[in-house]
Amino acid sequence: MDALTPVVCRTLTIQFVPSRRLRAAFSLVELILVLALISILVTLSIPLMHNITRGNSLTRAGQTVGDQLALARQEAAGRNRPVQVRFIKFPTGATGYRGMQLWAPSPTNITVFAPISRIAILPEGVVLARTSQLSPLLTSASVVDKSETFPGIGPVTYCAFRFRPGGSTDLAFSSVNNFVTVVYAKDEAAETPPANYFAVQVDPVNGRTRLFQP
Amino acid sequence: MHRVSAFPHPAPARPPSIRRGLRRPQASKAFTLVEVLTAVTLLLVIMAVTATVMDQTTRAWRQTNSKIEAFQNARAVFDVMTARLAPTTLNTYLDYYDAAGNPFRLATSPASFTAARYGRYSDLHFICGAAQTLVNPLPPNYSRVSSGAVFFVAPTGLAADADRRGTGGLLNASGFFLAFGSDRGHRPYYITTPETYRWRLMELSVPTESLTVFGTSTGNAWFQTPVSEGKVRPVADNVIALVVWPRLSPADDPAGTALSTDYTYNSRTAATWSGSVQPVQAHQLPPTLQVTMVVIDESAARRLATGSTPPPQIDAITAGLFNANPASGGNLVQHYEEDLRTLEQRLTDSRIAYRIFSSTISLKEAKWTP
Repeated sequence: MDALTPVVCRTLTIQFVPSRRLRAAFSLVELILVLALISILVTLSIPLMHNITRGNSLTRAGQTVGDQLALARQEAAGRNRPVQVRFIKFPTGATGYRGMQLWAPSPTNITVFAPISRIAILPEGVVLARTSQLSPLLTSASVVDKSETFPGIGPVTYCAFRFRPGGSTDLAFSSVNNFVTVVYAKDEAAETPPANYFAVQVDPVNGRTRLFQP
Repeated sequence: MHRVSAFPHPAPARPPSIRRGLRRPQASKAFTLVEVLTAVTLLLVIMAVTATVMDQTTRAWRQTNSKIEAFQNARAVFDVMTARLAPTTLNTYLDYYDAAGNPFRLATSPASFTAARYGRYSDLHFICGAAQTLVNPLPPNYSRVSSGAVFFVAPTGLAADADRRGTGGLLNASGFFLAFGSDRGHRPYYITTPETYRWRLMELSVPTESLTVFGTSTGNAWFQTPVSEGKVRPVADNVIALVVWPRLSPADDPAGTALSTDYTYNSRTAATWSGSVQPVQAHQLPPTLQVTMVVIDESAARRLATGSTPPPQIDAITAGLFNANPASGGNLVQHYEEDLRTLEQRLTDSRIAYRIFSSTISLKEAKWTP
């Protein structure tokens, strides 16, 4: 019996292992099925993920605009000096307003304005609408589409308005027409609000910033 | 038996130890479809749970953030309000008064005017008191006012005409009061989200071109008309109390009752006077204003909101405090500290997050004479 066992085992191994292997591992069909399932799930989630990312960048852009305006107001009220908010067509040659920068009179020569913050650039694919319907603040600002060479950026076109010392602005008196709308780049020239937008309103008298989302 | 002969070596049963040793490792070498599916399902469940937790965390974070932002805005607004109030002016001058106490400025027949003494006179106006009395009629889209209100003339330099904008020294009618109502008149025209009804700190801002305080020497039309025309703008949401307390500097007036005992002050009080001393409030500014503003957070306001009617719970919290309700007598300035403590206690009991902003503003233009 003892002498026999190894032989039997070897025989058994030779006889049974192939069939057992087949049963324990994936068959090609199983693998294909799993892969197909995975790819269906991925395909379904890609547009969703894409939407989420786009929505995120729109929200981020809106918050960036709101933050810049709040910073400008605080700077104007706190340091008691005028602060100019510039909306920049970024990069050079672009048609959409994608950059913002705060400028103030230079301490040595108050007739010359100099940047007091780094340029804040909206996320890729998001711009400020440039029509008077969606961004009346841009089209009725005190500086509209002026060309100038910005330090570190190059020649660009920009619109600008001012926060006066104390926090009020040089915008028109009405409190309903002073807003900009952040939209996707494809809606840059839209005249009616697209499905998803982010409106940022500035009160011309007290500089209060309000954010609106659909 | 025949079969037995076919197998010269009858298949011996393998020792149990070897069977186990052979089967086990082979069985666990790969997964079956069922196992994989189970694992994937488990993974999905775990991911779903994680996503929920993440979602909750994000929501909590956002809530905290909005709370901080709300109070940040309130702080900025309080600074703007105090900065607006500080340069308030009356441009008081000395005028002749006749024996009956009428100023030469208003004399109908200057030729026959007999001057009896000097007195202060001003063509401008400073007034504060209960909003229910002063803000009447109400601004459009707002259904109620409460707490204190202040209206004044200051060189804010706001002009409707773009060419005059920013010209220093232009006088504007300004004011602050609390009102309850909708924000629909103050949003970008295309916003379709439901309007929100809140208690708000409102600012009256009349362009310099429409300043009518010189029009008459009496009455409050110079601010009541623009308020009713809607020349007001919300400055901060969820402000539930605004107390404007005109007083002398704390050193001269520790109790704060020398100028006003009920938070009211009217520089056009008593157009005529007969005593030897002109009434203290007449044609002069109080040297200091103690301004207190109580703000609650947006999540609490949302919780308490009852649509287009003012939330009764907020009414209950502010009831009977400061000069909130002049009809029932209001509360005098001597109870200020006590009222503030009561308000804090009520807010804490209702588990409402709040901030109290308080500051004493000295009015630079006040040339106080007792």
